[in-house]
Amino acid sequence: MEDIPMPCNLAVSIAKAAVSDERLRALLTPEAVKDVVLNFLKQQYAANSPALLSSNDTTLYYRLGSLVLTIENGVVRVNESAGNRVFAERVAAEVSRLLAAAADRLFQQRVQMALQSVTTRAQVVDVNYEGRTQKAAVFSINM
Amino acid sequence: MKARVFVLEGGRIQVFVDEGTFKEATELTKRIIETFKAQGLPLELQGEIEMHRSGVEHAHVQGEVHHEL
Repeated sequence: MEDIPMPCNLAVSIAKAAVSDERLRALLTPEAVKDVVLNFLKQQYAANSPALLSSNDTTLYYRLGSLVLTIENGVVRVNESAGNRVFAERVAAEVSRLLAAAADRLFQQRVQMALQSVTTRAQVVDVNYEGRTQKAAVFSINM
Repeated sequence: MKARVFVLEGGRIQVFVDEGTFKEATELTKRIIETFKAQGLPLELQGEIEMHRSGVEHAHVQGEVHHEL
């Protein structure tokens, strides 16, 4: 780790930009998240014998014990047949958080690729924003 | 011209332009946004491009770099 001297004081201008939630979720293609979700389920719920049931261009289907998880456009649905609603809701919430983190990673990769030819340095730093600390990738560029 | 692009959670970025006049910095910021759009990443500016001054809410680096990418 190294210290970096108050870099915001260097700035002439500051601008904020974002992609829509819909476009962010669109990064979560079945191909991009298929293994990420299965590995997570295997780590967290090995006793429930998680397995990928099927996938197509838009949707993933997993079995987890008596549950069937469906992921479509980054949205998780869990159908439970054994009356275990609390467990189903917990799994849905955990997988939703996993997908949100995956979307952030994929978004960062897309930004990195877009700036590749002009990037002079790329780092991960802690930033304080909106009253809390979060990790951010920062790309120093020259254009 | 030198600039930095911070990638935050939730599909958000902040662009800090570190050199030039405010007009030049504004033009560079717009060019950066167009670069993303041209590569299939439809980022839209949220509000105005602001002159950096005390009181503008933005990401502050805490002082430690975790790792190089």
